[in-house]
Amino acid sequence: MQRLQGIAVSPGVAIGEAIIFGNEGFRISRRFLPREAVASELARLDQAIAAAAKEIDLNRQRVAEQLGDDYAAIFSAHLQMLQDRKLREELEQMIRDRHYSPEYSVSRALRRYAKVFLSLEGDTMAERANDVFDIEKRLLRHLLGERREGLGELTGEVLILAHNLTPSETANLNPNFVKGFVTETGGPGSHTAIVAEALDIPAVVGTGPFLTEVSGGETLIIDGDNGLVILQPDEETLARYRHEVDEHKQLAAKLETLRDLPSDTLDGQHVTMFGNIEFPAEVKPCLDRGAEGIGLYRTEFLYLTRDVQPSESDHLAAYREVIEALDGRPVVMRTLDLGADKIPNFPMPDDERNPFLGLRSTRLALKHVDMFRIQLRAMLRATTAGPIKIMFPLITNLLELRRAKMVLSDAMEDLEEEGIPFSRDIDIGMMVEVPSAVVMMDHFVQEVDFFSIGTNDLIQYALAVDRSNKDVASLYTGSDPSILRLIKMAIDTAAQHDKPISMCGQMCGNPIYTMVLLGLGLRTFSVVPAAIPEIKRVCRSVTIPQCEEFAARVMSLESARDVKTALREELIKILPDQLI
Amino acid sequence: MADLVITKSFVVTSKNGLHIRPAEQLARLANRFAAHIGLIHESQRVDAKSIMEMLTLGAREGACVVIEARGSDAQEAVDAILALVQSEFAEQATEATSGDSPS
Repeated sequence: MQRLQGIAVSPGVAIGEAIIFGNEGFRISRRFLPREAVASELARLDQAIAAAAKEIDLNRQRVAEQLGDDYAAIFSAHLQMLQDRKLREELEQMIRDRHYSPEYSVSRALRRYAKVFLSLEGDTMAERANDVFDIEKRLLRHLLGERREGLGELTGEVLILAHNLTPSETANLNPNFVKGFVTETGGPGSHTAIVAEALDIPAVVGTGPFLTEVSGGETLIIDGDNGLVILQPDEETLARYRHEVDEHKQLAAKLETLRDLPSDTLDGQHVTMFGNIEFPAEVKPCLDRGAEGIGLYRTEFLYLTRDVQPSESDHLAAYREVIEALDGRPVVMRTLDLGADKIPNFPMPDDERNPFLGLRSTRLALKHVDMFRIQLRAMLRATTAGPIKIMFPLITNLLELRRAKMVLSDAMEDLEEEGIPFSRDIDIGMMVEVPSAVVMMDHFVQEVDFFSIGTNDLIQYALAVDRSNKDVASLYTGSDPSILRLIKMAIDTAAQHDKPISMCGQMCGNPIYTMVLLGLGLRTFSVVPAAIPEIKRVCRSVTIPQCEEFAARVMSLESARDVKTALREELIKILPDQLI
Repeated sequence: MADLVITKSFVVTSKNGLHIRPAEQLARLANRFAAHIGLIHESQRVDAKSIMEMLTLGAREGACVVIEARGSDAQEAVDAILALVQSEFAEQATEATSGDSPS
């Protein structure tokens, strides 16, 4: 048994079979075959060899025609290697006698040859090793079929272990089969983290290198609550975690019964539940769980999943898809919230030593107005399809907000001149996620129609903590009294000026905070779809005066630890079966 | 009844030793014969019909390799292989032998 500590980015526990998605593609499970499967697995091996041979022969013919026989000779050699009788005997022996899967046998046998070739003197022999790897890949591709091509082609439940996952890889995966993620790299803001949360599956990132320690097909445990990955777990550990999974399931079943009930407090105060989404396809899971609209549509995926910057029509198509899926319910679209490093074909800033304090988000958009305008035009054009609101992220000072609004006005004028229809009657809002914006709320209320508190950045900036740095990550917590005070300031100022304010950060998706947030006056929660039922259940179990009283008590505490303890105790008092 | 055993030796003359291309030709040729054909180099014996095994010999230029064929067509097999080696693995040599190889 081996424990790895990473960063917890999406809660829950998953126990299952590993599939390794390394840079070189899938590695292979060391699965043992049942005796009766030997014959059919041997047949499968022969089919794969035949298919690979056919492929190589086609290559050989094509190259021979185009470049001549000399160049095609390498393919003749590959063919000979692939159909090598000794190799075939060896594979058959592994499958028949040792009951290895054909995939594992192929990988093992060929890698053994590669190792011998590498050990022999001379450059040409080292090249032979590459030929062997090439044949291995080809055979595995045929054995695994499309499975190796992408995560979207999975056919059974798996836990995905990867060095890193690109946004397009995560976007293409089939959520029905992926039950958890572990990546060696990445931090809390990484794409894997966001997607895992949206899919409601446990994820741990930033574990450091470990993929060499594990083979595909092994059972492992992902503890997304504590950022732990347990390789080769012993029976006792497995039993303990299985119990935890059962508890989660029982709670989920209870929550399911709340699905169609309103999120009203016991004293009849309605609490609005919105969902956070990144992809248009996520609208449905939000609505299924009772979301009344989308409180945060992150538009970044448009930039992350392609090699070129998205065009106006790319933007528009995605926005319309979201609007249509919402069928008249509101959606808050957040404009570009990325660093320059994530945008395709984009110049890197010269002195980006501190990316989180650097050129990102609205700052970046204002520096590259042409790109910003493309997105704003698309958002404006989307207004003809349904009720949308536009929200600017990471607003730090008033001038910044005004400049962003100016670019939006320019875009409106342009559209008007071009005779392209859109609605001018659109609410403009801003994220409250930089402490300076909280402090200046009394000015901002004059400038926007609504606010949304982004707790992730607010916490990191207010507490000066990089939560992807393991050494200081524990300082990062919404339970810090200073954070609760900042939130209170923002809510109070907005309320004084009758401006709607919601929260869309992870904090409001964590049931531990629900009571205190209600007590501080928050009435609109925008959370990942998976969190909706849990938050709703807390709302339905409390009264506003009870929450206000509790919040007053919590606000008098002096440390994050005291706050966290109080929050836990209060929640357990009200909902003893709540899993924290 | 006793199988015919033919033993001959040759020196690898190709610059890169018994590398992938000669090995491929040799394996292709060897597979045309019924005889068991072994190649022996520095106390390692491999099957001449297996390119993979042959490559593990690591026989370099100047290496002395013994051919040992056992079976009814052992003589033809050894002759064909020596012809291929002497032609310095010219592609034609392979083609030429294909005509007189029994299956």
